[in-house]
Amino acid sequence: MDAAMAAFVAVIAGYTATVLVILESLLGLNWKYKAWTGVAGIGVAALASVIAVATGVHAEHGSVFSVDWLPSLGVKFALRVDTLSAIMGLVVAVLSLFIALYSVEYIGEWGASRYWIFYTFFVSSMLLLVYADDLIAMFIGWEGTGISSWALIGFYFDDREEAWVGDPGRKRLGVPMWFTPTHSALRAISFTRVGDIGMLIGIGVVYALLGTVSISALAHESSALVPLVVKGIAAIWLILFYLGALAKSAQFPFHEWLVTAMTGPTSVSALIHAATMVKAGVYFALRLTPILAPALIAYASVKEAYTGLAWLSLFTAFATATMALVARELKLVLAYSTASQLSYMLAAVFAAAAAGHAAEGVFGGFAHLVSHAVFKATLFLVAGAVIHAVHSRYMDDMGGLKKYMPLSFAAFLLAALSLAALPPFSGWWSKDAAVHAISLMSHEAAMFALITAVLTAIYTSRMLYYVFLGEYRGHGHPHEPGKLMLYPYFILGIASLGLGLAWPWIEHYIALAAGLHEVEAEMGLMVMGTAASILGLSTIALYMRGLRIDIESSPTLRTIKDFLYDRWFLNAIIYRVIVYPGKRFAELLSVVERALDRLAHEAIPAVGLFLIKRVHIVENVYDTGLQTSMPSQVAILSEKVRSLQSGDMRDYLTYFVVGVVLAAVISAFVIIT
Amino acid sequence: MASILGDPVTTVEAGIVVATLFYMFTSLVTPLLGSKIARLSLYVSALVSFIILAYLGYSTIAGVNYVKAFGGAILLDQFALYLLIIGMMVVGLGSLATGGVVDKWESGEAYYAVIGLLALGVLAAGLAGSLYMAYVAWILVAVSSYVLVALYKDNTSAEAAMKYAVMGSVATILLLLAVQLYYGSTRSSSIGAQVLVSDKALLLPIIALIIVSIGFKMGVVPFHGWVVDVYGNIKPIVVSMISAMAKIFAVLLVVKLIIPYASAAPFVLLSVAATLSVFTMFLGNIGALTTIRDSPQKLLAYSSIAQAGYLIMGIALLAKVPGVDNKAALAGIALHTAGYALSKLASFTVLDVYCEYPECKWKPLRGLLWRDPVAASALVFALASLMGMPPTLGFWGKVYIVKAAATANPLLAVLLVVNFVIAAFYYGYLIYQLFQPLEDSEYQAAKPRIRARAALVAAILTLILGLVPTIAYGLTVYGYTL
Repeated sequence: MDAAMAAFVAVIAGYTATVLVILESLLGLNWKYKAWTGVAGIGVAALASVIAVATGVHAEHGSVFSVDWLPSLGVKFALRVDTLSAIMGLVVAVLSLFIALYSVEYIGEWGASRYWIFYTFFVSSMLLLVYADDLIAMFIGWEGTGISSWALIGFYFDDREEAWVGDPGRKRLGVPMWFTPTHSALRAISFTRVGDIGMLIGIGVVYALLGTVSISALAHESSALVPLVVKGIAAIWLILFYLGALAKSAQFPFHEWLVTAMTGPTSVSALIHAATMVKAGVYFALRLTPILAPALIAYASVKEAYTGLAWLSLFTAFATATMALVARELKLVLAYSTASQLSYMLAAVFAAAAAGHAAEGVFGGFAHLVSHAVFKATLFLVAGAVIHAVHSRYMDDMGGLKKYMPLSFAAFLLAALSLAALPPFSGWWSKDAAVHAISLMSHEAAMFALITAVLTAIYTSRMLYYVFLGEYRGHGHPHEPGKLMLYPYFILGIASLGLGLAWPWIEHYIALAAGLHEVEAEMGLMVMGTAASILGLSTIALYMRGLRIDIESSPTLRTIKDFLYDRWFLNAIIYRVIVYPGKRFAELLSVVERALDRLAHEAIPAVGLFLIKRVHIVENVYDTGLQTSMPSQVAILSEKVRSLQSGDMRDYLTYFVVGVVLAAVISAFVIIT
Repeated sequence: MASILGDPVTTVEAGIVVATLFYMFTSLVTPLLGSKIARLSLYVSALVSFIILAYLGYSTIAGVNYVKAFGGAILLDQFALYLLIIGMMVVGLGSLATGGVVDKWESGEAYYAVIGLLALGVLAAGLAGSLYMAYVAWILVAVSSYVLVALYKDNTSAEAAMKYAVMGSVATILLLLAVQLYYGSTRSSSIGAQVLVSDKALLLPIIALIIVSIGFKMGVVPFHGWVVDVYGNIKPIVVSMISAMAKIFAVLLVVKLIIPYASAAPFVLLSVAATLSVFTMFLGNIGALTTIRDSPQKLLAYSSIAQAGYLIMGIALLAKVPGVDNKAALAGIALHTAGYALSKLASFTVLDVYCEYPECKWKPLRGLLWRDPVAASALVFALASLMGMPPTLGFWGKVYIVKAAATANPLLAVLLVVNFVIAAFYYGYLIYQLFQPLEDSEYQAAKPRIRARAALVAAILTLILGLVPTIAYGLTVYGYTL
């Protein structure tokens, strides 16, 4: 099997599982069948992705699978396996498999049909997005992931309170700051939709200029985009084209959707909202920036656009890291952290592109993407087990769990140290690569990234302390989860250390994916990065010694804390400026609608009634026909039909003979004429 | 892809021998071993035959359109292969579904053995390359059908079987006569041989006799007398199998026998078959519409007559009249028969779960969707296919038949469409009953039974196969004449 065929199998496997789960639900089978069908489908996809890597990772120009899809628009169902998509596909499919195993026990019976239908649909859509060599095919996968994300964020559609995000009753600027699953699901799909529209416009421009939406063709003819610069719209087009990626990968101000997406089941948060789907935006940038930037970067407006995008990402990384410092909910800390780390990846890509070294950016961004996928999935899966064990999503109710859940603690610790970028964990290597890419743009940017790295280490140690160290503050008796939940994240935890140890070998493939021949490392930056990590992590000592500042007693500190806790008031501002005015506009429209409604349902019928009274003589005749004559005719007909079917054999044989005679007569007639 | 055995003829011969041996074992040995083993053996036979036929379709027939084996006694083409594969699906699903019911009958093991013979008869009809084989197939199917009808030992079944057998013997005599004249006109016992005689006076009775005798098997008016009494009165589970298999059998045989005469005397075929078709469609549909209050089983029995009318129209359109789209007619026949077999299997099986034998009533079906969604959705999908809703098999069958009819005579196309509209009323009424709100607690919510699940699989197959009609259309290339 060649690599592209394997990719095709990987994409189809999950969709097949989706269909099977739907059939099983219709047949009313036990939930376990559905769960294991889902796992099996994803298992096949994972196997196929391994084959795709084994056969395609060294392919010079990639391996292509292509059939016509919409011939009239030149859209092809084209899949392409090169080093980048092969590794990305492997990460997606293998993590999906681990998390699917975890979900079998975590989700259980309630909602199993919905869960497995959308879970398998998600995995296939994500793989389609990854392997696609056609912008439209990619966009279809992209939207497939969006719709599954919507369905799974709102998984608990009964809006049970333990699935909420935020503190019930808390308001900022009069805007409620707690979110139910159904509300969050709608937020997620509306926020990302804004970006998707931009992306669709961007694709339209590509089609208009090149007459094709093939990514390979775009790579060969990227100079065809130069007319955009001449018309002075290159920068605007670029930002629109990247807008879908910015929204999907939770860049300011779109990060709001990701934060409240934590209402979904934790397995979903781990897979979709940490390890894979939110990486789709980064992947889009990794795939297209090396095509677009070299062709256009010579023009000042494009360079400025990339610089601006890089600073936006750096700002997002910093802002969400500050929010993570004060969050009380475990999943929320991880969500902020995800947004922050995604921003590192995008910042690396954009900054290096602005500096004219796109390949370096892809190297840094992709390295961090791979390592982050593994350790963040681990953190989320452990968080799911912990929240389940203590029956609370607040870190206030945790603490001291090291004693009760030692294996979970070990997995969490390994992943957390990777997040804090401590050597020799994978996060250390990849964050250094990202910071190196950022430093190509300017030293200020690199410093800013390092400050954020310190914050990352601080919130990591805070989370680690509040959940696993100190004294247990909750009620009940926490314990380790079942094997099916424990093993997946334990293996992934070990993997985040293993990846770090094997990094020099892995680095080679990531460099190959980036098209980089040798990897440069800057000693000074590495030392500073390590120092930042150690500095941040050392704050755990303060916690251990019991040294804490009483924030509530100082008005200044409390104001700062509330500002961060309420996400820089950004949610409140968005609701005040966009959502509520939009609602009032909708109310205004409903007044117009009611008027039209009255016209249609009252005024026009009134006229009609008036007319009907005038013609009621005709109406009477019609009525008699319909109500009396026709039924009696039908009754007579019915009687006749019944009498034909007398049940008497002799009658039937008579018909038979009549039929034979009829056939003979017709034949004779035909022959004579 | 190369065959395992190299030579296509050897592959076909080996496959046929294996399938026959399996069915013979089921029919002759397993009744001695009890009904459970008989059922299992029937299921395995169907599965093995399905795999063999699918393999032949995929590897052997795909390139060559048709293969003659056993010195011409066997003729396998793509059209027959497609319907035989559907037939094996029907037998497999049918044997899966009936476990809990038939096993408890006094003569349960005989049921499976006789279905084995029935399946063998259908296989023989699909594979027949000579007139002898065709006649053997006819006898196998005829006798096993009468036995099946009589198998549930009560007065209703006995009366129905008697009527079926008496009319069947008349039809058998007519077929025998047709076969003799056939031999006379070609001087050869092989099917598809060149018609030598140019005397229209001899060709006239051949076509008429073939249409009449096989029309009886399909339920074409006015040879339909038995249909309502058999399909409408006896145990629905038996009907589910007979109605599906008899239609597949009749279509396989009539297409084989009639095609040489479709070019020798096209106008005779077109006039006789189309006239009978018009009578059949109208009597079937109006009968169903006017007996709507009696029982859902009667309604479906009349609908079987109407569906036979659509099929015989397809047969009429095989006539080699210039301008008539024979290919569309053949594709329509194949798709429509497949859709009919699967959806009748599904709908009669569901009736078997909810009909209170011996009188099938409406009440248990009312609001079925809320009580047993599996059974109800099976019925909805099956009726959708019978009604001709896109994209089911029933839809594609009707589309192709109407397309062919329009090329022959627009009036025929109009009559077909008028009948589809009439039929929509009573199928719609049946679906409407399923969606009624629950009114009383007389009937409790039921756990989906194995019969309902098998019915749902059959019904969904009409939908899934309907999604790939182009594949089916490709399969319906009739080897040697069209």
